[in-house]
Amino acid sequence: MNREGSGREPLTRGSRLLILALVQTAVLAALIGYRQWTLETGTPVVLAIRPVDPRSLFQGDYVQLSYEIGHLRIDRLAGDDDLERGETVFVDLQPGRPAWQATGVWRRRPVAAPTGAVLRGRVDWVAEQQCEESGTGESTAIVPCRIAGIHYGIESYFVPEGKGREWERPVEGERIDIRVAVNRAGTPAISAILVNGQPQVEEGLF
Amino acid sequence: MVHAVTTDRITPLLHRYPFLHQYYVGRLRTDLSRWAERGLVRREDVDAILKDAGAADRAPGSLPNLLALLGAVLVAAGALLFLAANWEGMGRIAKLAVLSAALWGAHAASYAALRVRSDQFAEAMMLLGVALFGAGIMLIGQIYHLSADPPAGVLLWALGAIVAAWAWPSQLAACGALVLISLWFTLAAPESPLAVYLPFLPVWAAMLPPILRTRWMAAYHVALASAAWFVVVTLVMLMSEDAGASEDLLRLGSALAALFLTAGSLLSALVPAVPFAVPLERYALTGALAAVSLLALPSFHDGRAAGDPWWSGMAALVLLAALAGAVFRWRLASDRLALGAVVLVAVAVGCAVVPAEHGWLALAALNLALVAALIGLIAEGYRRDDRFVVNLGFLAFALTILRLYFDTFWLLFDRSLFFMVGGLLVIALGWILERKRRHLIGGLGEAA
Repeated sequence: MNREGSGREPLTRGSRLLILALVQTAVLAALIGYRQWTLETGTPVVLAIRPVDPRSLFQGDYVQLSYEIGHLRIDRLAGDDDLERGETVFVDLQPGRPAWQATGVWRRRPVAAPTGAVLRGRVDWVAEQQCEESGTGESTAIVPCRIAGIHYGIESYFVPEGKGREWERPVEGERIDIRVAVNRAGTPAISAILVNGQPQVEEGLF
Repeated sequence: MVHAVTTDRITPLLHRYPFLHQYYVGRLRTDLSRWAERGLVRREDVDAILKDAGAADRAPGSLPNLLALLGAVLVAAGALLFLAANWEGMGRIAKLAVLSAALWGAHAASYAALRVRSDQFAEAMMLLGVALFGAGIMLIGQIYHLSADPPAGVLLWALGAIVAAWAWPSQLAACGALVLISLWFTLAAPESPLAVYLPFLPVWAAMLPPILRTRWMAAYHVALASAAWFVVVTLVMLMSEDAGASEDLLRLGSALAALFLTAGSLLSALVPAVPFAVPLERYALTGALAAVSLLALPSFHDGRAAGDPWWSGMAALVLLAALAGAVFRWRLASDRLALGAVVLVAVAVGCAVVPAEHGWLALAALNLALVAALIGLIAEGYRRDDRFVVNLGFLAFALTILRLYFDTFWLLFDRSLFFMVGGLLVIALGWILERKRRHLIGGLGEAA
């Protein structure tokens, strides 16, 4: 038996195995760490969501959140309006009450105003449509418009069933908004669910 | 010749009866130390030779190997079921603890298996680790509401598998990584604004060095299939986006296949590269025949004007490169496979410049060229002693003849006559071709 040879071989492979395990663990930890860094250092932004049955949020299931800034009228906003499906875009947001509003959509990242934030998203679709536009007084006009569907990676939210029961359930008519933290790269992470402006569910590390 | 035959008969026996293999390795060890003393082999090579002989013990797909793999799958399934049943009641810390424990447990089991020199089981556990890594990405994504970006998640998982394939080095992990890379491409390409999803290529190429260095033939086949998938999906996406007419894209596709075939043919001239050349040639030959056969279908032509200059130019450029290689190969050792394919594809690409009103003439010429090329292919297969080429040639020839009959006589004949003549043609063709094929294949066996 060549004891030296047989002893060295598993060690070499063992150390490679250790490196593999460490790399895998580090990647998984980085996923959590990046999100936590976003929550702690990001700009808090309140986003309005399109009407959703409030109770479905608290029944221990995935909720598909549809944001107001998920449908943007790009012909009216500042920035680029010749966007195409699949493109990465930067959406300029300015504070509003109760929710923040999109003011521009850009291909290249704009410099955020001191009070604003820039959110990164991806174009799902672009459509030429007919939009209602309120004119003077109560009259409305139908005008051609250009709408982009944009997703930001914060569209699904999972509420654990056990916790959902503990929370006070909002009733119909109460307003639900989502507060996200937007980091320097423009990546958002959901930090709280607001009911009538008050945080109902706050996200943390554990 | 005699040695090769003897080895071929003994190898399966060595795999079937492990004690025979142990005897062989023991004998080799005694012989090697004697040879080393006499200076016939270098001392530093002895360990490497013994290691290689020991590793040859386990045939891929042997029972212990499969059982270890099956066990890994069962453990993973059990863990997932347990998590699914108890997931709701668990806090985040508990979920993360279960995940890390499973991941590190798999790697610890792998290490323990290495210590007792059970390499197969160790590799199975390492693969389980890669699977758990993928599960970890999905679970953390769910727990922390990470951005819903499936392609990015799959890419991250694929990178984990690539690291495993390199670090171990593991052929199974390489196969898994290539499947994940293909899945990532399939998910990411339709969402991307890029017409050709080029990011696929560097990630795919990252798997090539260990495959070529370690001569992983199974992983090499998966890599070729993955590359073929990339080409086909890209062409189909270009078609559906109306970037080009189907004919233009098929011409480009057939030219690309001819180029790959030439590359394979050139590689086969280098002795160490022959094992890699043969599958490349076969994939490319099949692709080129499929593309030209589609182009030769009358129903495929919608009577539009001749090909778009841009796409035809691209196809012609690719074909020129293929032609240069094929001529070089032909002059090197009078190998005609690549050259024949290039000529056939050249006819197909040349059809692009024929004005639409003479389209039927171009189509007839292409069909004639196809039939001639297939006869040439069978002859070349026979000359090369290559059963795959002979069989592919016969199959394609039979399908083409039947298709030509359908195209030509469906409208001309009375229906009953059409089917009767058609039936007789099928019977006759089947009988003649099978006889001829057996004759040729039998000849190959004797020649070998």
